[in-house]
Amino acid sequence: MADVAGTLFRHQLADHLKSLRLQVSLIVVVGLFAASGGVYVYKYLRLADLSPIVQRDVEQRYDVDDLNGLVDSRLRVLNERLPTEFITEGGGNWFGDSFQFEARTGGDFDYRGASRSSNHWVRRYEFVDWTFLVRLVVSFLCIVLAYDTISGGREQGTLRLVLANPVSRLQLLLARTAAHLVVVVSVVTVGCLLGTVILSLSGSVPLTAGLVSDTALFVLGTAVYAAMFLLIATGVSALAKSSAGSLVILVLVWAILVVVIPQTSYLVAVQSVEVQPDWKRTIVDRVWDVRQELEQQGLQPRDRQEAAQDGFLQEQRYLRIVAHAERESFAELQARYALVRRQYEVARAINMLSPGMAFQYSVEALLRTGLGKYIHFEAQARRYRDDLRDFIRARDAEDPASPHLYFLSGFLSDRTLDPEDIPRFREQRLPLGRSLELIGAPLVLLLCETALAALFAMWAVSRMELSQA
Amino acid sequence: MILTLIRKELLSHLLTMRLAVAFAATVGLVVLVTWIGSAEYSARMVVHRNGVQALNEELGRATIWQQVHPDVRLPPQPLSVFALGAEAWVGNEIPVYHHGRYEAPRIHGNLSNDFMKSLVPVDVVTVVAVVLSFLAVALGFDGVNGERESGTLRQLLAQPVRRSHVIVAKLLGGWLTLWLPLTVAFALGLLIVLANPDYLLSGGDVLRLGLIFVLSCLFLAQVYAGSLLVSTMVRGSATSLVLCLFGWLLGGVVWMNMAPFVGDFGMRETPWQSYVDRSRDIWQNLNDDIADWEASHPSPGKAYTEALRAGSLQRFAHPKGYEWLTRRSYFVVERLLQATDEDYDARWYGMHDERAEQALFADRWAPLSPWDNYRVLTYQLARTTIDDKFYLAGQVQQYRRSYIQWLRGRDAFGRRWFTDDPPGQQPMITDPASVTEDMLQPGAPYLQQRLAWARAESERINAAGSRTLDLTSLPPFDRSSGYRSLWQSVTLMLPGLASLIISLAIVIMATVVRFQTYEPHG
Repeated sequence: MADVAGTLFRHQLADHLKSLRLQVSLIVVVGLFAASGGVYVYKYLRLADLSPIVQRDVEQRYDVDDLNGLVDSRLRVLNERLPTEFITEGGGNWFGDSFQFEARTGGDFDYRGASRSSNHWVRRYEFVDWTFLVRLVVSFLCIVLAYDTISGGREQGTLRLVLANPVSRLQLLLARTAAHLVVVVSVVTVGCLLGTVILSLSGSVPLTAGLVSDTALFVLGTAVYAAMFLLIATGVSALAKSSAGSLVILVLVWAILVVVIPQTSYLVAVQSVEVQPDWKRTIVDRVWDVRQELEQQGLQPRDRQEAAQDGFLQEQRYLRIVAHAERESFAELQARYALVRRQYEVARAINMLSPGMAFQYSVEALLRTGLGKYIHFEAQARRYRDDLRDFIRARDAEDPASPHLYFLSGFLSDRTLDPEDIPRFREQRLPLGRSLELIGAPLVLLLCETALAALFAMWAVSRMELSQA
Repeated sequence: MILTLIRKELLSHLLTMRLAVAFAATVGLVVLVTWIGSAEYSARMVVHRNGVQALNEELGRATIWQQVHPDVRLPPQPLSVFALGAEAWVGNEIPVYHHGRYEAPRIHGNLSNDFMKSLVPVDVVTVVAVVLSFLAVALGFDGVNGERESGTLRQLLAQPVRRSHVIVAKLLGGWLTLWLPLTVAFALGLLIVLANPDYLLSGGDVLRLGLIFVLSCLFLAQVYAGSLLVSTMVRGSATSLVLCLFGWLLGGVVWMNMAPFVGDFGMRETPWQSYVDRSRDIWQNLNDDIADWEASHPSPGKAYTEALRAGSLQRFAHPKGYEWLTRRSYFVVERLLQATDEDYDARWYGMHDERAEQALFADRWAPLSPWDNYRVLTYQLARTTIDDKFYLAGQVQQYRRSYIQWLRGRDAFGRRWFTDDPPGQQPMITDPASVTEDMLQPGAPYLQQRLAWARAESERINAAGSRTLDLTSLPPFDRSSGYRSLWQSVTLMLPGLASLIISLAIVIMATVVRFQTYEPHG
């Protein structure tokens, strides 16, 4: 039996290799991977040009004389751009990529938009990364290859003959689907290889073990996604009256699942979660207002020597009030930010109904990018501010001459500070476990959908007609 | 005879599952899109009205010229519900004041949410471009070779009918079938927006909407004719479906994302950071120049210039201090205007013209893809392209120039720039000669006492409200100049229209010609 199944597998493969469909598909898919790769080369070149200039800007903010200068300096925290953005952009282009903050009490903590790559005037579009190509083009390719797996044989009268051999319907399904899958995964792999060659030859992306493993994970995800569509196509092919009918139904299903559903998510999210414009500004203004009011009342930091005479009473009061305002406004900022994120999460949830987006988000989870990376980055940025404040406190404690007023500029140690000693922000890459924890749900969804597709295909094949009515 | 043929074609399409599903999908999506779009429009209208009211109140309260900023705030484009375009992320508000020049209106609303920028908002035109064009392909791909396969074509051509009539009937039948869900969708969409009391459609807008509808009809005609052409050139209907759908996929969905992607990243761009660095230098130079001026024109002393400060407003300085402050103000404002121009040039020629080119790239190359061409043409009619936003910003910049000239004419850069005190106003420090530096330290009792007096006095003045500026002669921005006229829009549309009409004509002719020699036997 296995022998026959093996023969079926080989025959299907051979059929594909000779067919016009496959040849056209190969050219289209590989061409698109190459084109995408070419554009990414430019993108990476541009980021490479930008990187040293930006780094210089980040560094010079640490160029201070002492702790007083440090608390006043507006520091900039940037995230790492992953080299695997060409596989899945993961929001790297649009999500905010940096924070700016001042360590002093009442200092700003600003959620910045994407500062290194986005041109805000360009029409909104989806990144043509590998996941886009698989989501749209490869799924379509699966339908094109598999829509007449069963119905073709039925129309030509060969289906009955094949099943006259000692092979079960299930084995037929398995053999043919396996052949389709091998072809699709091979086509994608060729595309990936070409894209990777283009990117690494141009020096844009270093060829590391990490890149190879990420690519392997991507291909694995693609195989699962492709299997889903191949199984659906084979199932419909088994049930439909004709190949043409099968194709039309499949394409309609594909259009709704892959194209139409994601279009609605933006609309629904925007309606269900209201985000205030200027959500950041109104909170920052609040601390500013408190300080203005205190100054109007004459309660503001005095000259250090003068203030020392009464043990900095006025400054301590000032600090307490401003610190309280800062805590309140920071909590509110967090709450508003959570709302902003929720709007996106609603859109994501709707998107996940589309297998294409479930695939996309699965790859993002596996490659540790996307929303998970951003959440991880934001937590680290907040922690960095705390760590920096701890550093300042510790350093200040070493100086007995300091008034030790945390964190009021002018009232900390004025001993010379070597900028090299100041801890810098180093983003830790999101661990895979945490990534899956944060945004791994789509992976489960993808696997379930594929399992459902398999069940559908098995059911369809078990009840199909062997010959044309 | 041809009418019978058309009727036959119509019926054969109307009774199919494909049409029913696509009809339902289109109408459903358009209703959803219009309903939500209309709600969005209302929300933006509310923001706009509040903004205008707030602006007018602020202008009404202004007592010094520095506080005046006659920002241009235009309402959202009504047609943006149908053809959203750049209005999805760029608003219609441009600030107007002395130290800022803008290339485009502000980014607004929901897209202050950075996460949402990774999603693509959809409008009626996109639904037509994606879903209805899909139906056009689904109806046309087997228009000829499908009938050949089923044998009905042979029977039809055996009758005394002219081939040209047959093929024209197929074209017309398909077009009418497609225009039916289109019309229903547009009608429903229009009803939904008209039911919204905030929605204001001018006569010009109605005409433009009508033209958008006509364009939609032509676009669908183009896609259907293209599919039919493929149907006449390829033997198997399965093959023609695959070819048509790959074409739809690549020319439509893939192109609509690929074009802006190439524009965004495939073009060289000066790093933003280099502008930030240059900008810092420009403003540093400004501060240095001001410091130089102050060094060569020494102030009469802190006791003379000490004043109550609230934002940019100063009150109760000594008359001698005011003399110096006024001379300084003339210098600073002119220098500030100069720095603003330098900063703008650094931004624009340093990098924003590159960015504008990137943004315009996708729109410029749209005529190569029927799907994108259609969308861009409708955006041009609705005046929601990024180009229209740049146009608005350009008009506002002209307005700003005329506003600054008007300010010069009113001698606004002198004393009234920073204080509303009349010449006889009692200063905070009546006898500056007798005041020592210690008395003027922050927190010093003398200064605190004087500030308390100043605050009380200031409150009294504010309550009386007699110092507000007279802005009645301020030239307002001519709203109608902010947007292109219909003729200007059409001029912009010429390349796209040419592409649409010429390609449609060629495809129709090719189909008719091909069908003349088409072999109807299986």
